[in-house]
Amino acid sequence: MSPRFLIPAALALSLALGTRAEAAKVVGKLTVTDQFRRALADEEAKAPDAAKPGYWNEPNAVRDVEPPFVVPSSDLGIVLVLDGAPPPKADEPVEVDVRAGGLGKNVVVVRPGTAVKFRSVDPFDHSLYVPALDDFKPEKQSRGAFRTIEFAREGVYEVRCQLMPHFRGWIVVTAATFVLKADASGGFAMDGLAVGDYTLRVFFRGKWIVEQKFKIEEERGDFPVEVKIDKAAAPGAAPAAPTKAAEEPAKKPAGR
Amino acid sequence: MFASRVWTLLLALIAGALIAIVLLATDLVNRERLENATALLYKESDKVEISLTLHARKRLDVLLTATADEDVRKMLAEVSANADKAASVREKLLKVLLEKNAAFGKYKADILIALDSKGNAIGQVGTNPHSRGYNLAGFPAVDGSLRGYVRDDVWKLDNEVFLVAVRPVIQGGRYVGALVHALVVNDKLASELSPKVQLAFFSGNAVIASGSPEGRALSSTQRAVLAEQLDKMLADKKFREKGYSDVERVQSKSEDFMAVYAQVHGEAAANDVGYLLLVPVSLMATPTEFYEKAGVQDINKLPRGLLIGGIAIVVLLGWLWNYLEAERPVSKLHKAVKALETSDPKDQLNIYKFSRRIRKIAISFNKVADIKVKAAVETAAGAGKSIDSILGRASEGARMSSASFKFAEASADDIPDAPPAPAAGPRPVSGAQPRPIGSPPPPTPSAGSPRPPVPPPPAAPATQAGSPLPTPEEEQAYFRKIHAEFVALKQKLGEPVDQLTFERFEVTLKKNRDALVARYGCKVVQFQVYEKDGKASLKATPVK
Repeated sequence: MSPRFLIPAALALSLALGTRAEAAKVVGKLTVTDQFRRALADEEAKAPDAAKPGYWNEPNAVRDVEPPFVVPSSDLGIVLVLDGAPPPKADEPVEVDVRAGGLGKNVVVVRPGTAVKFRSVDPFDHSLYVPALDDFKPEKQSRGAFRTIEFAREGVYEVRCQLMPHFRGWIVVTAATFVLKADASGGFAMDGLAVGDYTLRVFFRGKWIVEQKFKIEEERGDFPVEVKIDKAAAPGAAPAAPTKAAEEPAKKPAGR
Repeated sequence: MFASRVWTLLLALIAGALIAIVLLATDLVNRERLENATALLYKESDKVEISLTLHARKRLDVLLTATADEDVRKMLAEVSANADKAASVREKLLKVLLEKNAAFGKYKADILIALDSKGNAIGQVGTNPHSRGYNLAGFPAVDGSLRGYVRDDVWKLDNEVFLVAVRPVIQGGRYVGALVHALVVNDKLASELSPKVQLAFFSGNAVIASGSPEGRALSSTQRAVLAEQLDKMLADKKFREKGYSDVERVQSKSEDFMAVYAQVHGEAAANDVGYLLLVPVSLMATPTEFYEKAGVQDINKLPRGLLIGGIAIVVLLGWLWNYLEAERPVSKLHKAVKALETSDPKDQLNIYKFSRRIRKIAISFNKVADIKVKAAVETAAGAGKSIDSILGRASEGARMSSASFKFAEASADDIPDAPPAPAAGPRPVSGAQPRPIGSPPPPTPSAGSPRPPVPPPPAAPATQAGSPLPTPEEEQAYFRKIHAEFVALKQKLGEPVDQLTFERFEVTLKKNRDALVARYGCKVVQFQVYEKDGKASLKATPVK
């Protein structure tokens, strides 16, 4: 084959690939503010402890006590909903570690019909269940054992352990268009987004605490989204409402 | 017998009262024992709470020596910054933890765990096989400690219950991890915490550890009984809300004890972990246990002199009443009867010397004697013997018992019992010698003693056999005659007669006559005037 024919073919391929690489992408950051953590601490002080406390619970004499930690990768669930999108299909089975203190990820978001595989990685026995869910009754589970439950309907399911009263974890079943995964510092990204109106929702400890709308108008480029989780999102505050940015289009990609 | 009866009644009342007091005392003692056991349990329950609180404090305090150790702080800081370093520091970390744990002395942990800032177990020393590679984040005590709290808790992990103390490890102004001090709840710990009563820790309806100051564990029977009680207690909403119960009595065929239940302070309370205190109940089954269980010092405290004196007085009084009211009258009767053995066959017992039952016996005796005499007379008559040969002065007829009374006080009620005459003899004929036909007998002599010479009484107004009773005129004439004799005798004896009118006299005589007629069913009553103790007296004798 003559090299003269290779040059236009390479150009065409490069254009095609280039177009694909340029598809819309959301690059976001969840920021858990100190106010939010302090609000959690206040809430913790006010609310009666679910478990009976011991005899002593006092701050150490060296350093101030930290408010509760929130680890986005474990404690927060993030979804993206495209207005008018068709109902999503079920995800592939999701595997979740079961530890002494709770689930490996405290919040697991899946689409309806997804099977969740609970795998005990803990040296102690567990007996997981979801209150008032007949399909998920207490059942003893030793180290290394699996237990698979299919969550067919939308809802928020609080997973408990009959043997460990402190145990808490949430399986959130929602018909979201995309389920995003945050890293430990709160960063997240989602590629291949179509043009349209989106809603970003954040779940924490049993409820949706943030709902933020934005619009993607162009088919290509990165769309930065910043979500601050502040005092207003803390438990005990008013329910989550769309932020001001909801009606506004997402910022145009930098340099485009 | 009145005094004897009253005495018997009194003794019966006293005995009844004493028995009632002893029974009441038994109940009282039992109630006191239950109340004491209840108070003891509440007190010891408070002590156990204090012991557990102080124990937790001590564990947290000794743990400080480990969390403040420079090596521990540096190593955990390294691992928290870079999890890959865990393997390299583990050896050294475990060595330090072992040393520190040994230095805890009495509060040495069964398991001492080092956690990084994410709650991962970097290493542990102790008896538990779960050495590393697990994560304890999520436990409230661990989460709290990883952000600065010093906490204790109680955990139930699998089948074991642990008293847990957690302290943060701080290095370079950051929380870099925590140390977990865990103590297994076992019999040894229960014995250490138990002050005076038996202490047992339970998980669900099973006792997992027990101990007492003497180191005694619960018996299998007690465990079985407690399992039932724990089921009930754990189903009790009030117990779950309050966290402790009231003192309850637990009884079975072989067990009887008082118990109080409480939840532990910690997460394991939600796993139905708690503790109970119990004391056996020893109640008096019978009042005799007072004596069986009395000590020498108790017996020595008894007022023996008073008791012996009291018993002696009671016995002597009983004997005295018995002697006065039973033995002496019977003895007297016996003597009188013995006297009759040697007296005139016609003599009888003087019933007026006896009272009540003895008198009735004497009356019966006299009746029997009369019947015997009468039978002897009839037999003798059939055999051709004279009555005199049998009775001696048979012409005097059968002697009748009589009753004497004082004129001034006489009334029908005053007339003492007297046996009716066995039979009316020939009745006196009006105007005849004033003595009863058939020779009315003189006053009855003392039993067995010779009959005193007494003038024969004037005959009562009598009727012919088969004729009607005396007319009122005849009777009044008879009364006047008696009155005249009575007045004459009184004057003779120097007694005043001013008030002694015939009308009053007649009323009294009629009254006594009517009383005797009503009592004995006799037809005629004879009156006899005679001297008694220097005073004029009247004697009434019923005649059939």
